[in-house]
Amino acid sequence: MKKTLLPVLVILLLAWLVLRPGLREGSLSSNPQRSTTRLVMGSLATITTWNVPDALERRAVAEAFAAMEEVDRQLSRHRPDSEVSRINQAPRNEAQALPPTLLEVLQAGLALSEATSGRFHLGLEPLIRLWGFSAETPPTQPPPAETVAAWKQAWPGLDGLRLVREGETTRIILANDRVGLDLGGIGQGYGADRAAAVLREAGVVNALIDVSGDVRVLGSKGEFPWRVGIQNPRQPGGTVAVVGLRGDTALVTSGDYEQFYLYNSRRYHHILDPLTGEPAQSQLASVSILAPQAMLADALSTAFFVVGAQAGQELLRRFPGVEALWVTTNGVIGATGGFPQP
Amino acid sequence: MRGVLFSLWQRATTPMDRWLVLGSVLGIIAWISAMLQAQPGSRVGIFQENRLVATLPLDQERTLSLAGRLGEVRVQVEKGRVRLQEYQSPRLIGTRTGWIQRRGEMTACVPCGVFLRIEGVPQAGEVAPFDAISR
Repeated sequence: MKKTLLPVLVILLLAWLVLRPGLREGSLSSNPQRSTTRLVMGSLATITTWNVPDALERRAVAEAFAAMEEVDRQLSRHRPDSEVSRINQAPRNEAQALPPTLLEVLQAGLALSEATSGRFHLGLEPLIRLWGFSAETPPTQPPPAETVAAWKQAWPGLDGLRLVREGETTRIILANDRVGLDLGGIGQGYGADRAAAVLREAGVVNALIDVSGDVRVLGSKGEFPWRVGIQNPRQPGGTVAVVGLRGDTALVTSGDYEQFYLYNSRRYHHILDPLTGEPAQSQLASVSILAPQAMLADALSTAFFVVGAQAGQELLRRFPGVEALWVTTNGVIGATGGFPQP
Repeated sequence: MRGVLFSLWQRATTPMDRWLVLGSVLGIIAWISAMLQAQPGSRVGIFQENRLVATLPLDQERTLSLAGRLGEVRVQVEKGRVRLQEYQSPRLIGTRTGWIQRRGEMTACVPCGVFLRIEGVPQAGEVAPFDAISR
């Protein structure tokens, strides 16, 4: 009897280590994680919650998806009945009414346009159409150089899109037909923020909203942070870093690998630089921005990508609490000092 | 010190005890390893225009055809995995994604209005390296 005491203790210790509650937290019968996926905003969006009662989870998630649908109804340039389409179809150089949602997004976008001297711009819809990136069928070769040059010649820059106060209301003026609204660089992030706000108002403390890779989180995953990988721009399915996110924050990546084609050995991607009228040539393959809101992260990731790593870091100094990780076209990874270490 | 511990161990155990401890340790290691492997899912949800139109077990071979927005979309189940094949989609993202089989994995043809999702979410202890991928 005495001789078997030690092995019994060893086995009991190992059994305790394996079966203690912390390790059993995720057992099938008590998994606190729920995920719901829907097609929304022209993307696949998933809302994952942690430790939320079933009835509350169902209601809150449905409301969050409805909020994203509403954002899409106003901001999508693909929907003929959206506010953006209405403004794009309206005569140029005439003030058009703005609903509050669109005004909020435009004000944020215009501030960033000014900060980047117009390199980030919400009025590039005609240029995107010219390059074919808005078409159902992906382009295979660049447009003729003379059409791009003609666009550049008539591009009014920062003056292309103006907000004007008329009494209590604010209206928008598009300068000419080379300007049209495309909120692709900011809209999904705004949608993710709206979903997060709806979840929080409903009482959901821990959630992750993933709108086609634009990630917005609330709280944490129990005692652990939400773990978000950053896509390797040159290796589909691979990652360059993993970030643990807690609290009210967002991680958004822009890169040259989601929509692109190769023509004469050059990569033509969908992030266009209004300075040249062509895909941005900043020697960056991707930029990931960590920011308090997804809309800001979304817009800054595009702006940083367009202006390049050096000017991008200078740009971020205007936005306290915002950090970046970037990958160059040579595969070199850089990051700002406060970006979480992988 | 090591010698003292070894001597204590020898005095406190019989050969049978040692085999018992060894077997238990190996068993527990195997159990933890199994926990850490991503578990394959057992059913796939097929969604069209955000409505669940079918749920198929992954252990039964089956091919299902859907009328997507852009034309036919085919769902093929075999050997515990499933894939989506679209034919008219401009970028064929769903077809390029290939087979999926683990809980929570998804594949979609957004322009077709169709997506597949393996039922369930990764369990604690499974290899679910990320809750999302920023891209």
